Amino acid sequence: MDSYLYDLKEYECGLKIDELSNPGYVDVRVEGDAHSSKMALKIVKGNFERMFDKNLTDLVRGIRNNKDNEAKYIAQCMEEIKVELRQENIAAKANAVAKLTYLQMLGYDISWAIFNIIEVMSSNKFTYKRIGYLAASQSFHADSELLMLTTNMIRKDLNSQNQYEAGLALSGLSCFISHDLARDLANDIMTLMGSTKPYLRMKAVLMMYKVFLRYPEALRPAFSKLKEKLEDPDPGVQSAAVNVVCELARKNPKNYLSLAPVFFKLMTTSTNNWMLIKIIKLFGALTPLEPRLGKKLIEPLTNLIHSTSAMSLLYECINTVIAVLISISSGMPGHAASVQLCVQKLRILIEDSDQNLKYLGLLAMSRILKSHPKSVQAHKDLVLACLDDKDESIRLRALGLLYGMVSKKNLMEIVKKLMMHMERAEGTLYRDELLSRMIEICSQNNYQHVVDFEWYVTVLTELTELETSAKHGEVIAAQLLEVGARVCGVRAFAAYECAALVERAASDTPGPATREVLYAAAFVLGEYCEDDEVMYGAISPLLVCAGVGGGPMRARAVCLHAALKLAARLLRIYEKKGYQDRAIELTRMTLMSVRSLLCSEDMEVQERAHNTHALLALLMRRLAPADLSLPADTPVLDEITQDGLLVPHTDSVDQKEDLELYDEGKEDGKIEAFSGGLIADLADMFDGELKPVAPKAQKKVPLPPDLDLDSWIEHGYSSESSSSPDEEEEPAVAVFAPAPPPERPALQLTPEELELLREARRQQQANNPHYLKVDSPRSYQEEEVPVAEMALEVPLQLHTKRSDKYLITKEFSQKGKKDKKSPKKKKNKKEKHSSESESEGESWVGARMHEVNVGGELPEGAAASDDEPPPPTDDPHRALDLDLDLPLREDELLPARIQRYPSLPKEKENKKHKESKKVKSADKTSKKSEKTDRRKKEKKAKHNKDIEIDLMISTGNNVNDPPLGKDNNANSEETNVNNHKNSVDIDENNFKKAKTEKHKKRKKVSKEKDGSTKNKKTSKNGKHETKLGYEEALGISTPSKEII
Amino acid sequence: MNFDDDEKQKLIEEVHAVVTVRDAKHTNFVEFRNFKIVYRRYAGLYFCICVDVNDNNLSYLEAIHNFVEVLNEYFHNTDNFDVKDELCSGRPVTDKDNAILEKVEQDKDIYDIAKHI
Repeated sequence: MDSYLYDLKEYECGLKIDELSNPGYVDVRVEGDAHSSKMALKIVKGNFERMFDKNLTDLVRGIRNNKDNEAKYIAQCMEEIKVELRQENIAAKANAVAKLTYLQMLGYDISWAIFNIIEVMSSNKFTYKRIGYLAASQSFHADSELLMLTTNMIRKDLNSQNQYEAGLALSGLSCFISHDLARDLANDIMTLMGSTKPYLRMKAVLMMYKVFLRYPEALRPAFSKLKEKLEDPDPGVQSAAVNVVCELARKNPKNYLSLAPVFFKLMTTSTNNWMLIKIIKLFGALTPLEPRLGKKLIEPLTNLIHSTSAMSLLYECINTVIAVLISISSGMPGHAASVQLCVQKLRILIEDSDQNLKYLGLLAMSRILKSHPKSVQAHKDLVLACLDDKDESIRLRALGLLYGMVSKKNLMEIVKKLMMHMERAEGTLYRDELLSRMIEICSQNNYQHVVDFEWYVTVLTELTELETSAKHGEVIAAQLLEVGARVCGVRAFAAYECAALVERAASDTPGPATREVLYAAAFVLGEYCEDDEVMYGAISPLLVCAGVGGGPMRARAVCLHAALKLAARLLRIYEKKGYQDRAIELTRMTLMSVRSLLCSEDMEVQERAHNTHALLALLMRRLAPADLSLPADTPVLDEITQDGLLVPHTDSVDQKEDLELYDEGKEDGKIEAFSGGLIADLADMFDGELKPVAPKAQKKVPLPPDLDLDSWIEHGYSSESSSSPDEEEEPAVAVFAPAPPPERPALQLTPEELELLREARRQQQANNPHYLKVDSPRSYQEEEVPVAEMALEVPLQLHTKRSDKYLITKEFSQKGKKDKKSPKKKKNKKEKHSSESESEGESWVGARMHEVNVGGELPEGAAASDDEPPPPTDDPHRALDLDLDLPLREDELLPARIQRYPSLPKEKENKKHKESKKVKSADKTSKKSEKTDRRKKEKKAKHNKDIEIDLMISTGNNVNDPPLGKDNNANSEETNVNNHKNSVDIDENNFKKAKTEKHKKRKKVSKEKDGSTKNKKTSKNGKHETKLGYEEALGISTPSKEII
Repeated sequence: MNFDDDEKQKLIEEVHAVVTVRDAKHTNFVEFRNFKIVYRRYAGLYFCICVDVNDNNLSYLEAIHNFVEVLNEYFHNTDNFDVKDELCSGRPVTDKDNAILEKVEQDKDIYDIAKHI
């Protein structure tokens, strides 16, 4: 921008002077030679016309003065510009292009002017050229079609004597370089990297990055030069080279491990903070690949942390130290000290009044939190203080940290604080985050920190009352279900809370969150409520909730169903106590309430209402045949058998509501009471307890290959139908085993058995889960039946899995790993609550533990064998590396930029190779490279051997003739010069490379000494590689022997 | 990354919406799509750089300042009406997508050197 504005002014002044000082110019010229006078006239005429042209300043002013009809004004300007572009006067064109550039920045399309821009770019005058390049850099894309026109022009500019012209070309080119341009100009740019002027060297180095991106093949030839520039005397060039290498290495760090020593030196010597940041960032990417590097880094990094005053550098150092600490396995001395140092420094950052530092401090803290939670916990006060910050992003960061901050002692306090935030939080984003975080910190590690679950349930209901969004409602509902199912001791309380919640929802139109939570509340109520007063009080609100309209609500059907459950349970209680009139009253009340739902617009509710109504009507007729609440059309029902009635009911439930599972409790003696057993039958439908299980296990359920599903169903069906006449149609689906099966055998599974199971599972993966579910419960219920023992270990396995499935349906989010901690928690919990539930809870916990253990192991093994069909990720790379130096393959290799070696054209490599023999100067640092992993060594060795092959092949060839042919496709004269330069460079380079070469050599020699090493190595390459490796070994051994 | 003009315009609007609503007391970093925006405000003028999530925020913040200082250096002698106005007038936000960022990065080094010398 700057430059061309300045130029314009200059030009404008010049013009004015021209016009003013030569008023007689035209006349004088007219007398001269006709042709030249015509030309002159034209020029002057052009100048005159241009006096009335707008320049850029006018345009900007004009746009501002026409704010009301900007579009119209600009359209008018566009027309003027088009006219100007048609003139032959280059100054006019430049002016037009300058204006176009401005308009482009305002968002107008100027792609139609590409050709004119190129014209201006090709001007001989620097000031115009500059305008042209600016416009090009703004508006050209790599896929612009006319770019190919520019190749020669840009080449000319790159090779210009004027360094600023070359620099201009470089800067411009960087914005729109395409694959073709990169390919054609790479060589010129590489030449510029060796320029005597730092200005150009620097620009060229930076430019190479763009070239690599567009034309990866250039990386290998250019890499040695690039490496050289890392030690350039000019700081600008050096930092440019560091930048480029860092950018490259960030994407493929492992290819740049060999540069670590150079960078290490730079890091310890440089004082340029910009560069240090880049280098340190690079090391952060390298350390995960080479842990030993991390150990070396710790000391200089801690020094830097101590000494630097630049916050950005400090931050980067801390980040990298964290990365190092994560990559290093524990047990390192001074490791705790550096963590401590980091945390201390971060504390300073967080305490700073600058919000940015605060933010970054928290960000880095959260990274430490993952690996060293304890050291972060010491700064809890700070994090809590940040929760009150004005800035939302800081609060969010602090929230993220809270996860690691809570303990049993402070959980309630923290949650209380968060609740207060929740009440006054305005942004939905923050609110969402608050809620999910709150639930996360409470539920983490299987509710590790929740001491009092009654409190937690209360918190959940309070959160519901805050009436946020339906999304939140779902989360809360899931939590309620989870707590209800997994914490037996709190069930009564949860049911009580849920009753209150339902009541509130019934008296008021529920908000979106409550609508969702009702779903869970109804379930918890129906499932866990024991107190008859609460039950009685909850039935009618539930039914009211079932009738609530206004949008879809999945809770409605559940509410109705829960009401039926409660009614059934309550009736049984009354029956036991002999309260017939109460039972009648309850039935009547329920019947009346249900009646309003018979015409519900919700299909599910309607169907259930009909079922419920029919059931209760049946009962009512038995209890009080004359009651007014009975429907008029009862006679129809009379003819239907009890069984016939019940079956459709369970059917519908099973299809729609997989949370509801019915158990045919095997009640031997049915209570013969005032209902004649009807109530008992009704209540039996809802007996049994739902159990939580480890997640993800359903799909891992193994099925023994010899299991005959049909025969199982036959047996189970016939033996059970006597005890549970209620469901004959689809017993399999509805059956649920209430009694925990013998757990012992599950634990005693031997490895072989496990193996068998895995095998079975693999074969059964495609099977329908329904079948699995079907056979497992059967096998438990009928232990007396000989068939049940057929495959003992399998049923046990199945049991754990089967319950898993329920867990999944309930959206339990707990992770398998965390489960181990849970038992303690639960036990504690139970002790506090009720001694009654303790034994039950204990056994349950025990069961769960088994489940987790067994269920956890199997999936892992199975996953390892199934999901990861051993594809060592390096294999493809290594396969590629084998062919590294074969000219044919190179094209394939380079695009991926996996090569870590400077790809010199072959003849250079050969030279280098020869020289490296001579230059066997002992270099201690070569040992460092030896530390790099074995694979790298092998690669190197192979690489080296390939070179040898090439040597053998091309000995007769002219050494100066590069096989790649890339260098000599341009002007031949230039290329020769380049080649000469290159080779000089390489000679220098060889000294630097001597260490690696020597190392390679050593490797090679050792291979040749012992033939068996080769075999060993190839075998290490893995099965995949064996063939290739073998071939390679064969191919290589011959030439190398010849050499020696 | 190349964007066509419509996308660019949309991007500018989005960045504008994200950045300008932020209070002066807020941090100078905003998460944006898969990147983050480091921005700095000079009176009515915002300088925004979109960087990778892993990049060092502070260094870019300083880079912006450096950039501004260099601009100042360049133009305080001449009549700076045009340049500053140009940035101000057209758009309150100059958005730099990654392609331009590359350029800025290059510039950064140049200015760095300028400082050294």
